[in-house]
Amino acid sequence: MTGKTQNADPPNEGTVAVGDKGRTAQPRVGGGSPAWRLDLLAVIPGLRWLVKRRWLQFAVVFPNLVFFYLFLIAGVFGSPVGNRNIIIIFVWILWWFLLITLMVPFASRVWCTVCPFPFFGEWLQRGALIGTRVGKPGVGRNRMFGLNLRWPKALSNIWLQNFGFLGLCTFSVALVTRPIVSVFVLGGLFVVATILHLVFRQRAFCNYVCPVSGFLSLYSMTSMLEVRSKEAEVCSKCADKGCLAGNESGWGCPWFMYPSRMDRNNYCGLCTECLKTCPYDNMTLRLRPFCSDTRIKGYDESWKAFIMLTLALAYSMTLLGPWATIKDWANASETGQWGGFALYAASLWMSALCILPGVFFGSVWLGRLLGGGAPKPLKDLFLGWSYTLVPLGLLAWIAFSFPLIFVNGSYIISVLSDPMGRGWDLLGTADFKWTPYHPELLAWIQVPLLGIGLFFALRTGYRFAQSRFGSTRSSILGFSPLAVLLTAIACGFLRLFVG
Amino acid sequence: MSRSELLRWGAGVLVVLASTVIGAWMPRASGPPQVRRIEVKARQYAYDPPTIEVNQGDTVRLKLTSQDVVHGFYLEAYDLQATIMPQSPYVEVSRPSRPEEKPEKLEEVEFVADRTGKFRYRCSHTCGTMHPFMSGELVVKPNRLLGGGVGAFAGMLIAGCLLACVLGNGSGEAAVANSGRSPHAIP
Amino acid sequence: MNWKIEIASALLVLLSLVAAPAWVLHVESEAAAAHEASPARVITLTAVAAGGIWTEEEVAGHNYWRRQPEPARTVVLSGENVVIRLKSADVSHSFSIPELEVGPVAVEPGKVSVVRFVAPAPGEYLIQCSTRCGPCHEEMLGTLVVLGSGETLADYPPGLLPPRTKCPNHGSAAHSEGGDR
Repeated sequence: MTGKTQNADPPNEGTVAVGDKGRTAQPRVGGGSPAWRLDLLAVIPGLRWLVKRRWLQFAVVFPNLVFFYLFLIAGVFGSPVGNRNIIIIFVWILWWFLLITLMVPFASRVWCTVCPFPFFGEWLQRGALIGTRVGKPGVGRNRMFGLNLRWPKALSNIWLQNFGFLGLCTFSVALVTRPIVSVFVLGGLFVVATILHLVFRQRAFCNYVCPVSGFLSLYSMTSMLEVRSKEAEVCSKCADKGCLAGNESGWGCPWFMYPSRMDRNNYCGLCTECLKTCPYDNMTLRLRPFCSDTRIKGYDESWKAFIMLTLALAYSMTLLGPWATIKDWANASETGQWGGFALYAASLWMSALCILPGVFFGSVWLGRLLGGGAPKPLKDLFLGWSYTLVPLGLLAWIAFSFPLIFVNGSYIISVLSDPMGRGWDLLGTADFKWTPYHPELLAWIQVPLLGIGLFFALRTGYRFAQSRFGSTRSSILGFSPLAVLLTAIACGFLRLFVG
Repeated sequence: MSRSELLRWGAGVLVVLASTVIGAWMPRASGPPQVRRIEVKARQYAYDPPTIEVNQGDTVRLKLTSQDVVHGFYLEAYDLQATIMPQSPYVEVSRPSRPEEKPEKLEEVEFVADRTGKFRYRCSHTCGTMHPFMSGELVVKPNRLLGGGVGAFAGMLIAGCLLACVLGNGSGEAAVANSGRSPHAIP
Repeated sequence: MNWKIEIASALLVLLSLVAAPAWVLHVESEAAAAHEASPARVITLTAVAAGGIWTEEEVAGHNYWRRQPEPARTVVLSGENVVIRLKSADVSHSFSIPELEVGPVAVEPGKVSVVRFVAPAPGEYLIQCSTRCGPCHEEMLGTLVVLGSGETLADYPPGLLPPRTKCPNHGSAAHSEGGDR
């Protein structure tokens, strides 16, 4: 459904160079100034050299792998107390905060560049850590080990990731408070990734299975960083197609993309292979405005947006909220209230999969009615508008994540000295007291963040309405039910955070 | 940025600001200042009551007890930290801003609710698995931040609507023309 | 493909897989040795609130949720220097041996508290927790058995520990008792 295998859609509007420093402009629908792009390889000295190094990915993944390995050791042999164990503090506080507030909005899927999960799988598959191999058997022109099966077509979407993530998040309380549960889940993903790399070709695990990848793909649409081809003409005349098939300088895109035709961030893992394989230096890294990709291609992606928004709401209640009953239900593995847990899980799944999509569909349907004009396909409106939940959801997640680091960030300092909670004192900071950092200011950060999310949701939603309804009157009328819904959702978060 | 665009942004920001101010001005306290004595029972991993609502200027006296293990009570914005021992009528109260001072043994903690808004009290003494998420809420009315926030969000809706109307059909038609050519390219 | 670079980086990876746990073991053994300045019997006791137990067993992420450890019946020889390293696997506890006027010493998760004393006259002494730590707090008892010369543990039939009624020890499902708050 999400035609992402060898993307056949036409590339985005051709880029027009406007002079110095690699700045290019794209014509924008709906008037206003053209959206800008800044070619980072042209303006940052040394970056072009760096991304072309074959050792780059190994150099960033390897330290991460060692840390991950140490975290697993700490989870198994360290203190069972979550806030005294580095795996909990570094993964669920530090990593999560950096991921959602910095990496996703500003650096797209850069986490996938440094992620240790596929390390061994990819090593076995490629038979190389740094270099490339050419020949058969393999994929494209690259020689590879393993079965190299094609991923089943029926699963070539993010539904598996949707359900996987929702399922994992149902048990989030155990996951984020108990080191051993984190070890099983993270270690399990590591093992699954390794096995799938040997069975299926390239990064099937990342693209279709990894639960983290699912929301990274959706939210990276907003990101200010993109990998794109510079000139479509160069690509169309290119006979090598190394970005697709691989060549002596690099592996063909492990993410099943056709890099030269890439027009969305979703399934680009920023592995930098296409920057290396392109014989014409036609691939580049660009800075761009926030919320530049706005096209949701299938229901799987829409539902990811529903799931993520629901989870942000649910976590704000179970983890940040004051209500004992919900906490007891969510924490059933300790309290034993499995009946309550079933109710909690059922309402979570119902809200994410049925209620929110249902209300959303209702407002789209009403909007189509109010907007009038020639009948428009509901599916097109539903998919197009479901993008509005992407900026709103991302910013709600960011607002949710700030308290984690402001309140519990001081654990990072003590855990650095005593990573396993065994009474070590490596850096002399083991006794650093739990000190929230100005938690009273959090509300003043959260309100503007939600405001930014709502602003982008309303703006992209209205622009989409314009593209479908034409006249201002029908666009406003058509978008109005959804706009009210979005504002109400934002106010709901406001109530939880500051009300 | 062109002049007309600047004007548009300016007008939009003005509308949102006005709406924020109106929203922040709306909430009212529910009565004159008074002394409130509230018993807060801590247990793994929540406080009862979960939310304490008071008015600005109220003197709040909290009797803190624990129903199971040792808990803490760290009230943000009010520089107050207490350790709640189970089966003890006393709590050990300290000021986080003055770590050098010895904690005081008190039967009740008292403070004047002079800052408005929602503030959380959190457990500050490791009390089990969900300890980092054990918190309750102190709401000091009038909650101007909430009012202002709702005002701002409603203002964005209004500003968007007004601006779209003022801009008229010009860009709308351009959008249709563009969308006719390439239905998917809506940056 | 440059084989030299491939082999070097592969060796680096494999080396790190061995070096990381080795480093952890090294730091842990140093941390434990820090309390052994003088010749003494060093004992590590871990407090577990679920079930109410002082135990000599290692309680870490991998076994805390799986099984309940054995309550401690710690054996020392009369007259020797005793160093007890105290840890908590969950909440705040407090260690004391009232008859010997040892403690109470606060035992916090993630920290190691240390008590030192000279083992007294032979006998069996009760170890308590003196901070309420959960529903099993009252039964959180252990014993210190001090042996005189020539005595063995067989000379001290387990009589000091009262039978556990509220939180019976059955060696598994450590957390199932914790529900009745």
